Amino acid sequence: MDSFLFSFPFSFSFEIWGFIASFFSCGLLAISGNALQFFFQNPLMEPYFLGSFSGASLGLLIWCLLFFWMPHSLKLHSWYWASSFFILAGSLLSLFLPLGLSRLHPHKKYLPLFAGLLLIQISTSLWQTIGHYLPRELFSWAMAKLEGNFWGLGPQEGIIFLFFSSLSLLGFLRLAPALNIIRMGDHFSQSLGVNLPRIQLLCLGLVALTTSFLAYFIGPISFVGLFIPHFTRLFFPLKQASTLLILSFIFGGLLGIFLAYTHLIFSQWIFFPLNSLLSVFGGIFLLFIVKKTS
Amino acid sequence: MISFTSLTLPFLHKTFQNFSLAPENHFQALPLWGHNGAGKTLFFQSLCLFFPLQRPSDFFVQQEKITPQNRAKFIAFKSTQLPLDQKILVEDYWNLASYSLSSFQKKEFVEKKYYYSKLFEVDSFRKKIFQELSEGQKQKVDCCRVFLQQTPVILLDEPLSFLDYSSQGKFLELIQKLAHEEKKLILFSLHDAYLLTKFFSHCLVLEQKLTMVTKDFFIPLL
Repeated sequence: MDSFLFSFPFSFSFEIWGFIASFFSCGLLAISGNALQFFFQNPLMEPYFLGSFSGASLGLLIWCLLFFWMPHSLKLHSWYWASSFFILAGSLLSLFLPLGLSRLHPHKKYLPLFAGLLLIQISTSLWQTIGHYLPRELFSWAMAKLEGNFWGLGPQEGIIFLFFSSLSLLGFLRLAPALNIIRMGDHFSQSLGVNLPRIQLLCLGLVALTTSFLAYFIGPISFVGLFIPHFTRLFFPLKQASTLLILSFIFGGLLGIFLAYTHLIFSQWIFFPLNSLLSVFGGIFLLFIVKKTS
Repeated sequence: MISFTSLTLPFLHKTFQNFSLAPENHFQALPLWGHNGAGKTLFFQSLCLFFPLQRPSDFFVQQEKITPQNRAKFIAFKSTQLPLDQKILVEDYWNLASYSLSSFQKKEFVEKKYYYSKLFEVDSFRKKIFQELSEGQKQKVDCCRVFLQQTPVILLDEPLSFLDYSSQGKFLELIQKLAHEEKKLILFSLHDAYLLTKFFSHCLVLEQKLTMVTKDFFIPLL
């Protein structure tokens, strides 16, 4: 994203934008995870499991294959922006599968999760089989792009990121009263007049847009949307959905800042992929959830 | 107060045609009688438009057309199923009822909360967690929540389950009083023929047809 859309009068330092990106991205992932868990009444729901980030990595794989076969003259002009575009498109398109399935079978609330897990599996398999046929530099570059990077935003991208993040945050808070009722069960929410198909479309659509633009600006980040909502509910079990969403956002944001600075410090000395660390924590946390729910 | 031209119960495939509660039955608590599996719950759920109606444009409450979007403003429903997430304060649970209220109704919501919680003798549970209440207490709290929705028609599915015998009598007297004072139609399922003949003169019987009968119909059952 080296083309500036407009000139920004102030110059913020690299650290400020990294700080903002980490706070908002993890905060929004946490709030998305919380909203999904309320909506599907399923403690395992989170944006990563819906397959949005897998869609992003599939988009990147398609772009890498196109790039590999592209004439050399085109390659110079399409390096950065085209890859970002494919990430955004892949992420958005991938959510049509869980969205469509949940529209077709609104009461089978496990279907979007299955569809998401299927996408994760497809994406991993394709990267494992096709990815190794790509040139080594291209493969390493793509892998780095899928690691999640809080420190890549400049002032112009930062402002756009901040704008979309604020819109997304407001959208989730607007949905909070309905989510508060939906978590009580389908019959209960129907009896109180909640329009379930409409809220479903709004909730999944908002999560899709949020995760897509996060994949575009930051890259895939796993498990934050899973453990922050549980962590919040563990300490504030009796709070209403709107309060829990705000608290998830704050705790997610704080975790994001911690991760960003840990990543920055440790990556000076060792190869330190952010998502690998999160996956280890996430795996342990999944066991905790299984134990808690059983 | 409630009228429709055709209502088919899903799964049971029973169809009731041209149903209308007669004017003398307006504003009263009316028991719904039927054997197990007759379709009482499905009837309530169908009235709440949980399932698509064949002709939704012909469904009226107080001469107003009801659509799935505005149904919660006219009909409140207490299901037999309790909420999935019961880790909620009783007061917050009641607050959920304000979701479909108009801005005018929301202004008097706090007063209504005090009023109904006192009537149902649940005002002391206000700061308690729903999960920690007994089944009977949950039943009363849930009934209070349904009344807070401030609708002209209230449907209560098995409202007497888990209530002790003296509470059952008190509850039936209370809903009769509320129906008359607040001009509501309260339809509720009931299985006790003794309570039915003691408190009510009419009853709606749901078998193959939906018919209104007098208390004489039930005396042989006692």
